Amino acid sequence: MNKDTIKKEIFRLVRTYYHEKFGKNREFIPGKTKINYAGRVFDEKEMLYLVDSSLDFWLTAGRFSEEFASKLANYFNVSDAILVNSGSSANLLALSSLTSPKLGERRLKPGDEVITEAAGFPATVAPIIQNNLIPVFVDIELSTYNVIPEKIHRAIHPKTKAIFISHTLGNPFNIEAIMEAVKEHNLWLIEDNCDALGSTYREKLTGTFGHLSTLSFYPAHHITTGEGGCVITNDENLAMIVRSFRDWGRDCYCESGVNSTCGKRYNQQFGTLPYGYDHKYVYSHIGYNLKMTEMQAAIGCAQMEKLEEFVNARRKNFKKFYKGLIPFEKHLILPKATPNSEPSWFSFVISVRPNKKFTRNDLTNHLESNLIETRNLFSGNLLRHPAFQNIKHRVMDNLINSDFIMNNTFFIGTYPGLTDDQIDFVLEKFKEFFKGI
Amino acid sequence: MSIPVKIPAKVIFVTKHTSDVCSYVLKPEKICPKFRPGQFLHLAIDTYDPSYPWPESRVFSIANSPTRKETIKITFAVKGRFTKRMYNELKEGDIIWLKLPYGDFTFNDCIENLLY
Repeated sequence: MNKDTIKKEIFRLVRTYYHEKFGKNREFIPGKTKINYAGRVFDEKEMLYLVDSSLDFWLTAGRFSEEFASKLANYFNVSDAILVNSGSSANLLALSSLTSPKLGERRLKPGDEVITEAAGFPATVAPIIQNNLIPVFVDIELSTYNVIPEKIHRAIHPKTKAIFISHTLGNPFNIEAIMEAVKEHNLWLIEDNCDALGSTYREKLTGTFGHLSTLSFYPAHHITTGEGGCVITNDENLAMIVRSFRDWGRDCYCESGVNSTCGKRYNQQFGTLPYGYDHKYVYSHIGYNLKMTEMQAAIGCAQMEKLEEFVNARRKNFKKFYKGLIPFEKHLILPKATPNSEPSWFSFVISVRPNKKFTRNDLTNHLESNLIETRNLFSGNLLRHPAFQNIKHRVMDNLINSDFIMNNTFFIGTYPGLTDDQIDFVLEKFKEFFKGI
Repeated sequence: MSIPVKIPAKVIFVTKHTSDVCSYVLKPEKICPKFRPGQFLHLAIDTYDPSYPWPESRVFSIANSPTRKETIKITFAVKGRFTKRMYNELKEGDIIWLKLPYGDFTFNDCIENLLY
């Protein structure tokens, strides 16, 4: 057999293996089968692409990385999609890139302030601290769980240089109001779009409004590559800087295994290096190595083909939960889409209204005991966590709602792997809980 | 700079203007990425195998409008070993490999009154 015939045979066996191992729908036994809040959703294509890339054995960024990045850039209609090894790395790179000396006077300098939220995931805030910048925490509103725009306007100070906030759980923040502040005060805007792939605001995708935006491909997210993430930008200069920070801080932009793309490898002057020092080993930033592997990108290519279907399934599941939970609105605060937006929901977020009969934990314990997975809204109020207690920071007014969600809020899944039977079972268990209240 | 993509392309038209100047019209066999006036491409004569590094290539200016990217045109003069090989070996129907777009010597969309 020649290599092409062997490859075909391997693919045939992978298909057979997929159908044998994963192809049959697992039977849902109410009360016995766990209902996850999220999980990978895939078919034979993900496995075929993964095996195809492993047979290339190129390992670092190759044809699948190019294709995945191109598909993402086309989806967002932007110039650049820079693949990285996680959503947290995407956040770190997006923020770090704004400290580049290549940005001249506009660069972020130690001590500059960045407006952010305390009620979120630490990966939005950690890069601010890691870059010796000062986070300014603004409270969120209940029901959309996004920052209060009016507080952002009031939080702006001469030292404020950027806004770095997330579209919480897929729900776009009030982009119009935020963009107004960005333009008026000439601020940088990074959209943490990790939980909101496919969400739109005034029919335009979130992730395309800021100077930079980020995505996560961890299995809980809208598409997965296992670990993985991406920085999106329509600014080619910023894209070069992000790539430099991602690739050890190097000045050269040749891809793996390529030399002298610019044709000037040995005839440029940098710093106090000797004239013509090999550009491949010239460093213009204190960088990292945060690249995605080719195998992850191969899975991403197959996932992109399912993105529209995934987004629709999340919206459909959200609607079913919403309709089913309306009868309990006197006990629960149900989520609301930001005006003018169409979220691609990461999850269905619920807050327990203040009462003397039950707590958030009573309800989540009831659900968990019926094998329905729940999660708190990430960190609650980040400033209450040991690592963040002594950081330099500023708080705009107070974080009353961030504290409220720390005590009263949780979410359940809306991911495409949920079946109608499972959603009906979850709703049944809510009903059962409130019968006893 | 947009993300450079590697694509195979068929040589569909060869024009030998002189004994050392030649133009090719190339038809991409996969979706051609967006490019801007002023950008250039890498051309490889040998097949690109994704298991191995990109083969030897040279850079050429893209000589057609970005709005008509169903075909790509390049014009070159024989200058060395690689371009001599192109001139002598490539014929209509051959498949070559392209990698594009490259280059940032382009007009900024925001600049008004580009022509005076």
